Amino acid sequence: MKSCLVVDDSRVIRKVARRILEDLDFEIEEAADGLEALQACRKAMPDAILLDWQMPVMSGIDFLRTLRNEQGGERPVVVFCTTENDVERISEAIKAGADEYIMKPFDGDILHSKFAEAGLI
Amino acid sequence: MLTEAQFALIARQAKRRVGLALKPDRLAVVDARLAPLARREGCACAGELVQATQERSDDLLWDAIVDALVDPSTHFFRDRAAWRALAERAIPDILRGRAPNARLRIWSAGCATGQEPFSLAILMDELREEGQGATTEIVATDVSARLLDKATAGIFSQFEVQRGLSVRRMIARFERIGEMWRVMDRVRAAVRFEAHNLMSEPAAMGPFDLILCRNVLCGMDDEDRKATLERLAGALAEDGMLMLGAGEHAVDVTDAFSRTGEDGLFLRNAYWRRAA
Ligand SMILES: C[S@@+](CC[C@H](N)C(=O)[O-])C[C@H]1O[C@@H](n2cnc3c(N)ncnc32)[C@H](O)[C@@H]1O
Repeated sequence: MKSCLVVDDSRVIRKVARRILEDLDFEIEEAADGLEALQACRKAMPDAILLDWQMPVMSGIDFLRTLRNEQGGERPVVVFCTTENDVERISEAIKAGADEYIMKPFDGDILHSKFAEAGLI
Repeated sequence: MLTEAQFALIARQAKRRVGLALKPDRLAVVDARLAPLARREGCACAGELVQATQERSDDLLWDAIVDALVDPSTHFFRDRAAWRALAERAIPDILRGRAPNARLRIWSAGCATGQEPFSLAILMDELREEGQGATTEIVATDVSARLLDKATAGIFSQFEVQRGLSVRRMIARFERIGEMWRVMDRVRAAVRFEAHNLMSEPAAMGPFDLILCRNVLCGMDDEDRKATLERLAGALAEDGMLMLGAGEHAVDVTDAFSRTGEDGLFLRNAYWRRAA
């Protein structure tokens, strides 16, 4: 069973994502901001990370840049999941090391499609 | 609710016009699907719409009724395995049999809102960038003018553009306009859209090296499926290939094709000739 860390400051979004991803056979951990996510990763690197951009304490992009410089931090497949839909923002995320990118709002079909594109399914 | 007689009438028209086989258990679905059109035509319900159409023997209205019943579902690079088979098997095989500078001709038959032919255009572009493609002409057809209009515009919602496309493909081939995404001119220019009903002869269009007719024939009965498959075979080059939808078959009703070992991918039999 693959593990996925769901990082979003909205509890509702985390719950929706958890439900969809559990159906796709992922084991879910949750984090409410980038710093919490970093701490979770230092404890155990997940196979996948679903990552919001705008969050208090530490943003998704700052988390990603830090993660990719950590020991083993290149391994998780990172899928951004955010309302940011500017092409420049998307390119910035890819440059920072994101593997896939979901523009909110999303549904189960999109999550499934993007996880497949990222080679997670 | 439609009466059984009215439903039988719709089923007859759907079969005759587009080869759509409606089973009797679809009555309630058809009734619901026709409600918006009925309203637009000033009728209270689907039953009234059929009655009015019949009384005026209104051919265009019959077309509109049937158009409301076709299945428009599609997405980019639908069935990942099929696109892998196209890129790794079908297109290389076809190119091997062609002169180095030959132009490839591909037909997307039943293209709905355009995701399939645009996926093809993107794939051919990528293959060319890797140095193994060829100049390609893509003809995309559908019987539905409504779906074809959307396809021709090449503008997709944020939902549509996230189904089947990787983010890299999306930002490389689309530009954002407001909340929508438009295929770039280069991709758009590779596809020619035309109205065509697969129940009629594709006479002037062929021959093609590859035809995609995916998730279209599954709506037909065996008689129409056989006739359509043979019309498609007639529009293929002698060594041309046909890609159907995942799990769709060709060899069960006609001997115009043989299996390739890849799901949904068939080879035209060179010796095959249409019965006169
Ligand atoms: C389910 S969609 C498939 C779209 C695309 N090929 C795919 O696989 O994603 C079926 C399409 O076939 C078209 N179609 C059905 N009967 C047809 C006919 N007789 N001639 C041309 N197109 C037809 C419908 O209008 C619809 O757009």
